[in-house]
Amino acid sequence: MKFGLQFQLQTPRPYDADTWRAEDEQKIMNEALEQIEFADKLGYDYVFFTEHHFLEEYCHSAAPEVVLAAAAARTKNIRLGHGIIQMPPNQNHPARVAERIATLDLVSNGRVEFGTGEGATETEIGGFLTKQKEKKEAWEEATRECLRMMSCTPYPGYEGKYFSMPERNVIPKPLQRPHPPVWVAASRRETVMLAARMGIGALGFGFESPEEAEERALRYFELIRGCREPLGAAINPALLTTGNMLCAKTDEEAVDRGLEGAQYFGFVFGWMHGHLSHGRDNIYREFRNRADAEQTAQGRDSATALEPEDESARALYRMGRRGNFMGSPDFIRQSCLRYEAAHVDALLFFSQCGARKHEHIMESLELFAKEVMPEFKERHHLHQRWREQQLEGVTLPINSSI
Amino acid sequence: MAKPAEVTDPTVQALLLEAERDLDSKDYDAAVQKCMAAYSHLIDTRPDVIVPPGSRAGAAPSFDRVLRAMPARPWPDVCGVDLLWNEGDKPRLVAGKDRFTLSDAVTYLEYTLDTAIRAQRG
Repeated sequence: MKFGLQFQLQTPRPYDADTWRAEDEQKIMNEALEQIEFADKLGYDYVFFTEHHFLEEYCHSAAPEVVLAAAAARTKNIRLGHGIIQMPPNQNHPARVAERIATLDLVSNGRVEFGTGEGATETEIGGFLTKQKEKKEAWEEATRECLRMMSCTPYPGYEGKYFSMPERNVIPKPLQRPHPPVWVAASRRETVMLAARMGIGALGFGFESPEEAEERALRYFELIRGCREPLGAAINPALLTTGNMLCAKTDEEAVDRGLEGAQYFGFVFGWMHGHLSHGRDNIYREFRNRADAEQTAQGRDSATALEPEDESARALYRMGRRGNFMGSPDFIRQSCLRYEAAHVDALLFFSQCGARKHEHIMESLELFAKEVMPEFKERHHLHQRWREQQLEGVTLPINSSI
Repeated sequence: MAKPAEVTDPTVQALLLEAERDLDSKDYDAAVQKCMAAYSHLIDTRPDVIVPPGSRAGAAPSFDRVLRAMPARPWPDVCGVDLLWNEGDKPRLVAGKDRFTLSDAVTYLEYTLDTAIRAQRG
């Protein structure tokens, strides 16, 4: 199993002010780049950056291609992923995406992972006048054509429902031929299966349990063996799943350092689906103000028969069940083992979130890389053998970094 | 490993198997029609597993979202078919377009399959 980091560049507003200080966003970006540089040295396999727009505090990664280019210059081996690019043409014209992907692939010496998606909330896609009911169809059309732009010389042109373009040779072409590995954001089970039928990787943002992950993996590989209509010119049979990660020397220290960030992540995610007061909400302050009251209410929940009595241990247990990786190296190892047994190809960790401290994230990355990651890397050849068995008989060209 | 052949309801199984064949022959409109019929059958026979529209996971700020199991999702309304559910009425599916794509058809096939499997698992 491989490991990577997923960044949103979460930037909580200051508790005691209505807006950010000039340097707040810059600080988050600089810290993220330091974390990526360190992760590269520690042997992490992937870094993925989200693209979201107008989702204040939740995600300030609106131009991931710029940050990934900066990461490319500071790293040697780590693969650079878009997790994801919003493909409806109102958000990004397919030709501009093809140009940017190819350019990043060239400057990074062929390290790009091309994650695709649609965009989520009305706040976001409505800002570009993309309609919710059309975004999936727009994604399919734009992604298929974007991949043709990378692999066809010249691109013959296209008359479509969501964009049209005359014949042009879209340059530069990516270093990875016919195009970098392709993924789709899949927070719902049916999108994972759509990925399989289209021959692309699934970036599982559903925070699924190991049991759910295993069921999905088996069905995914069955469907990919029968893939008849690949989206691109090469398939990427691969399943990633995501979780929130904070590793510390003890479980208690990990909860102390990491739990609030994970809770804020869920809180601000929910906030994004409500009615936002653009430029005027202070979500972090609201989170902090509600936290005490809700924590008290949550404390009244009785543990189920299988759950630990102790509140802190119960939080860890529940997070482990929900695809979160917060605790000592031993605790996280156990969580990772369950995903390894479920045949997940790679785990992506949200580590930077909420007001979590940069130095705690750096310690966490190092501790995980030194005490947990090596045994999984040593066993990766066994997983690759399993994959080869799953892909036996597949005749389509494969471009996958797993 | 959930697949149409494992669905125990014979009506739903037959419709989903037909929808798979339609997918393979690239007849996405027909595949969506079969999925709508299968889901409508589930509405009739297993209304307890039908998730109301608007029940979105994470749709409200929640302190303990990361600790809760992800709930079942409602019918995907981004692929051209809406689930209409007025108070007091039986929910029903209404297609908002005539031509469907591969992603529409696969989305509805897999969602309906997942709902059928959830129903038989209790």
